[in-house]
Amino acid sequence: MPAVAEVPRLHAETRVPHTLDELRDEPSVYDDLHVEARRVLDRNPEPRNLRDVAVALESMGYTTTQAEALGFATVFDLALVVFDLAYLYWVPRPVEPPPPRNTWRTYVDDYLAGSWYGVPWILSLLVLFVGRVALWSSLSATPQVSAVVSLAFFLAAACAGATSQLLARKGAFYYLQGNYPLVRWVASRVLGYGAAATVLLVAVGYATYVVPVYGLRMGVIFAEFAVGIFVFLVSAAPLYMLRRFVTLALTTAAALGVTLLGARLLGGTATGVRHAQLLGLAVGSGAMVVTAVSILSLHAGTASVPGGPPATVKPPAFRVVLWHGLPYALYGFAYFVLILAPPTVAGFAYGRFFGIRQFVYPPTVEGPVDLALLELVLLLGLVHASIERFGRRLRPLLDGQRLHQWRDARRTLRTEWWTSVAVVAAASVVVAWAAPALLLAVLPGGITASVHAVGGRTALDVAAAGLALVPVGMLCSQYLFFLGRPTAPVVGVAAGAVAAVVTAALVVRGGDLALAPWGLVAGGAVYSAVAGVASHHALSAGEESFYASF
Amino acid sequence: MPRSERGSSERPRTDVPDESWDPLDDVRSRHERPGGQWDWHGRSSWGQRLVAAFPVGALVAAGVLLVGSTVAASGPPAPAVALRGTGGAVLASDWSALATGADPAAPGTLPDYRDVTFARPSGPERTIEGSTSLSFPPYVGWQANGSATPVNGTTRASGGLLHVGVRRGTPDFRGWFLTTTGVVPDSCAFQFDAVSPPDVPPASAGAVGELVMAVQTGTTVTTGDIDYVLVSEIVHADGRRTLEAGYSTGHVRHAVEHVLKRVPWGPGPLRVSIQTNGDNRLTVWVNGTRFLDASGLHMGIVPPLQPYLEVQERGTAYSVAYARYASVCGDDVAVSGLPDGTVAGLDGYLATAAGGRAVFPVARSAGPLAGVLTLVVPGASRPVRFAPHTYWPGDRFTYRPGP
Repeated sequence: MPAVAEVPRLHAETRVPHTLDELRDEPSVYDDLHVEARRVLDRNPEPRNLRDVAVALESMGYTTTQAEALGFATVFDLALVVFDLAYLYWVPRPVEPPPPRNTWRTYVDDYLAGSWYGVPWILSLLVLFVGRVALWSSLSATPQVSAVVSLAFFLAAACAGATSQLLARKGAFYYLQGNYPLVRWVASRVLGYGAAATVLLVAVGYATYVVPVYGLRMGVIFAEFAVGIFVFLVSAAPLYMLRRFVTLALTTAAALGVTLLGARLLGGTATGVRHAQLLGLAVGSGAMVVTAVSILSLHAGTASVPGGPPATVKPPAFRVVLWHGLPYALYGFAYFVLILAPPTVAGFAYGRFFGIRQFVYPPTVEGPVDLALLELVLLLGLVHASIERFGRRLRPLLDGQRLHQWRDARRTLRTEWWTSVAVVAAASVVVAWAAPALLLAVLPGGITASVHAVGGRTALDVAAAGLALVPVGMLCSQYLFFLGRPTAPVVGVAAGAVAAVVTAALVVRGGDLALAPWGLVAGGAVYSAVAGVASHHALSAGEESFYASF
Repeated sequence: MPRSERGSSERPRTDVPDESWDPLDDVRSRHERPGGQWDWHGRSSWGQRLVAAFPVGALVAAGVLLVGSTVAASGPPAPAVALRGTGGAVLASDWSALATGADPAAPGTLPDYRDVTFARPSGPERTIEGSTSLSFPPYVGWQANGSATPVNGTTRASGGLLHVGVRRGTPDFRGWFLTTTGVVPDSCAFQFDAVSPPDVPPASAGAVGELVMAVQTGTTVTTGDIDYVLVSEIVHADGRRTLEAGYSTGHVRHAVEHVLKRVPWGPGPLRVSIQTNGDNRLTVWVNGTRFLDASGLHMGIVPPLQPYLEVQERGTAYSVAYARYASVCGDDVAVSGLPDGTVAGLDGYLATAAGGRAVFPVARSAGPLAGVLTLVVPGASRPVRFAPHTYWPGDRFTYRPGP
């Protein structure tokens, strides 16, 4: 933003002009406003309303003081005149109203699109049922191998969550601009930095905990799976960003197919199954990376045609990108900590019970929590549909709103918030209530065996209830991300993660590990409450929040 | 979507990159840039350099950690036992040979079952996650279960003994046992030390108590097969005792028992060693004497195997006590690193070192050698003595003389 001193000084008038005709009596002011109109157009080539012009003027350094110096009461009054002059230099394109769409059909389409996020996990579960082995899950693994693979998954998922969130934010920013060179630029760097940080964390875990406690052989398994799972998860991130869900499903299916085939060919031994899993992860990751790179290359190849995106690429300083993306990365990391904290705490408590400082695989907690996570497949689509609906409604609402109608706009936004949160919350309650019985009825006994152990059913019910609180937090966080306000979601999910860890640790102190999912209830409640209050506050501020996000 | 994230795609299309609506740009120097040129920033600050160096630094640090910890863990394992001798000599054990045939990834490894003395008092039992068995803290790799159910069965380590019992008598045979969570290769011998099982109260007519030492297939969890060999001392209410050995086969429940040898027996401690390939051969030693040596059997017990320290009862509360259990997977006790001609003495045996190695010939079915190991090294003014220790067949030690 230019310094105030750089703003051209215009002649002050004691008489307040209200129309262009009046301004024509003052040629110097009139000429200068022409300049300001062209400068406004340089900042916003297609201002659609008075507010767009006012924002541009403010970005040029105009405040009420400067506006008054020109004889206008406020910046909006100045914007009113400049907006009129801007038409001399810009012919608005004819507005093509979007084709009328059925609201409910659009909502259902958005729901289905959002539900694609869960397809890889559904596929994994189906293959696990058929072949007893999936991407990193195996029903035949020994408890010790299960323990180190669980630890590897926890670490890889948290790191992949951080990397994916950062990539989604910054990559989508350039992708929606059609600036494909910068999409590739930011994607390669985010993935590279995320991979480097993850390898370092894996090495720290390997050297300081896993090898000293479990031995070298288990340490190698931990390192292999942590890196393999991380690579697989972050390889999927660009496809999520590009919304290539069918490709994602196909590559996941290919990875699972390779795993199954490998397990058969390698004789079905424990070591053979692990090698087949790693091979499957590698093939799936490779396929996803190749696909994403091909898509982006195809886009970039069309970028130089006349009329395409800007030809000159000026990348931002990456440390600035990292700095602004850091809250999103923290959010992604803390989100997985919240989700995975209860089984982790239970595993360490289980080991402590045996007098060893090992994480011991706790099937009575891991199994129910893993099963309960499936309910998110149903609910994520709802969150996606709600935020898409919000995005579609917000711009027309603010574009068509007159200045004196701000109360109506804010009321509309509050209503939108309450409606969407209520729908997601109600659906979550229904799903949490129905999912446990449904899962036990549908899934084979081999997968649900842990639920039938002592305390397993209670753990499943509690985990389902706790995870049902998460979608509301996700929706409210998305509102805040939409408005460029990531602080509250980060605080909320971090507080939720701490609450989940502390609660799980407290409830398993008595020795009943099956109580650990109560950590999910506590963590989910804190997360949703913080994000909910903050998002409601932000939407209640209406247009101020929206324009503050620029 | 914030307007700033969408504006560029709606920008008026132009082939002149620097064409600007801003008159201030008119006075700026204009530099035509060819299409697709990357306009990088100027000189990097230290902060930018640090950020740029992070990936390489992180990978180097990770490499150092991975290689360093791997190399450290790949070195010779710390001896499980290091006995101090006179003159600063050290006798270090090597347990690597014990792992032969065992899956080191299994819960409970062979060293966990090598020489279990139940010296540490046990803590409260609890259900193992995802299993009907009870854990037996602090004994890692052991679990309790049985038809007596956790309500009626009890397992407790106290006073250096493992007590396995059934609290209340039942009309039919019920049992409770402690077994391993891991498995033991069929090449090993299974050695049990038990105190004399108590008498059954004479008032309970028809009541029977049994001390059962069994070796079962390790595949029971996945197949449901309950195939096992057993040696049991049976105590009747009228004071009669019998000792029998045989095997049983079955699926899930109601195994069919095949008694190969049954003899009258008297009260007294039992030291039993069982060796079987699970298929056609079964040998049992009792108190150092071969009790049964059968071959040509058709047992169908699939190795690897699991030992069971068990009690059975009918009509009476009953409890038996075990003093020790050991999986012995090698023959002989050997000490290497000795000067040739060194005479080693242990538990009444003498062995002379040749090729740097002194060997006490002890079969894996035999009990341990115990006591002070004495080494008379040629040229040394006085013998080297080590603290009293129990040496099991299969033990391998390396001698390191003092400074």
